[in-house]
Amino acid sequence: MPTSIMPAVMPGRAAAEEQAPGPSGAPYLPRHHKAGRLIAVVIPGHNEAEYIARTLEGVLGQSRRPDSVTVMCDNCTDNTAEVAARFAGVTVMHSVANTHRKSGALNQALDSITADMDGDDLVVCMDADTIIDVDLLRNAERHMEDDGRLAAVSSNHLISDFDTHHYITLMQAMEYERDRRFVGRRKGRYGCMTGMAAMYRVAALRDVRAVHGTFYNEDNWTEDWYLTMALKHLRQWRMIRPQDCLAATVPVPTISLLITQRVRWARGYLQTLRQFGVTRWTLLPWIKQLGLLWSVTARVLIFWLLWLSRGHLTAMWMTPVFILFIADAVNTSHKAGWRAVAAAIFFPLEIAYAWIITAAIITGYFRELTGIGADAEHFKRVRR
Amino acid sequence: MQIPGFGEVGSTGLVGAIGLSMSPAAIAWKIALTVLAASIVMALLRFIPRAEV
Repeated sequence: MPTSIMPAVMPGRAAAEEQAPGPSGAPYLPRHHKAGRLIAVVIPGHNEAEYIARTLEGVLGQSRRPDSVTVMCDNCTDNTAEVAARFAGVTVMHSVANTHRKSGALNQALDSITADMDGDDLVVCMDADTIIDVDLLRNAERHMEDDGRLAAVSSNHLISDFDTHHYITLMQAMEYERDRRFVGRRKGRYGCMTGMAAMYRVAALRDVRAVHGTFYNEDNWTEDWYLTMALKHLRQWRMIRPQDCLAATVPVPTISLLITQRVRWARGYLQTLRQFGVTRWTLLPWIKQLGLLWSVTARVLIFWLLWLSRGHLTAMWMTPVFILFIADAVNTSHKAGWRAVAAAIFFPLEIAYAWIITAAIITGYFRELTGIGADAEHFKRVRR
Repeated sequence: MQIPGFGEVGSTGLVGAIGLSMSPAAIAWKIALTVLAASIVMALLRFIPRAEV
């Protein structure tokens, strides 16, 4: 187990302005903007050797190059660190006695990296299996420049660069595309500042730490959702999830892992709401939980009716309704590719997926409310 | 009673649900039809073009 954080990461402005070789051997030139703003990228990873190279290629190939890139290896037992160290301009750190998963690793990295950064500098926290769009840093920085009260700019995550040949990955691709569309149509004002890739203003992170003790809550199942809520409650800060900040992430490959992931997300969602209580900022998410309850009740009822009086639901008058629903499914997911269109037309596939997700959410809520599995699952990792 | 296009109707059927019948099945129908109507409205709204920002 690593015994120290090494080396100190943020080289400081003078050091950052030195030339270093880029990913393809070309000079790696930090391009500080007018105000000399720094952008530091932090990538926590636990055994991510399979994906870290593609992730780093995406970061180092940005149209606005970051001023520092740090891979924080968290209890890795594979060669994540070795793969990352092959990239010029990338600093590798190792977490120290971290028992708080990704959030603990991020806190250790951010403590070190932000120590000599200005409040107006920017930090990007992202997953080790996420490929950010080539203009993400440039666009996110522009949003930050345009609005001085912006605390965070989140990416919209898609699965566009990865395999969607299998049922479970295709369903996630459709789900993420719908999420992107939903957020975009609401001007990026809703949604979590996703842990897959989000840019934060250092001053905002420091405000969170001043109130909550750490940047990321180490006892929460979904540290990104907690941080989002923490920032919302610091009323001077705003957040956005714009359409010009896209990222591709690796889908969960099996139903079993998908359920594990969604159980954790559901636990974290409810856990965070309970931690913050009923406030102006949690009221809508609380109401959404009632919506989920209503949705499950309605679906159970409809299945019952199908059994009790199935003649009505298969009657001719339902035909235009089914056509409308299928058209809606196609309309909202067609940008995920032709396979998504085919799956949307064959709607039972999506109904089955919806039930899997619903079952996972209910399981997560039940476990959160009863405390079941809190210790046993603490170190069980899914990809996110 | 059979109504063309609606199949069998009655206390557990569509007409029973829309009417005043309060049998469990009729209540279930009322809820299901409410959800259906809301879903149709939501689906139609999603067809309205809107800039994605």
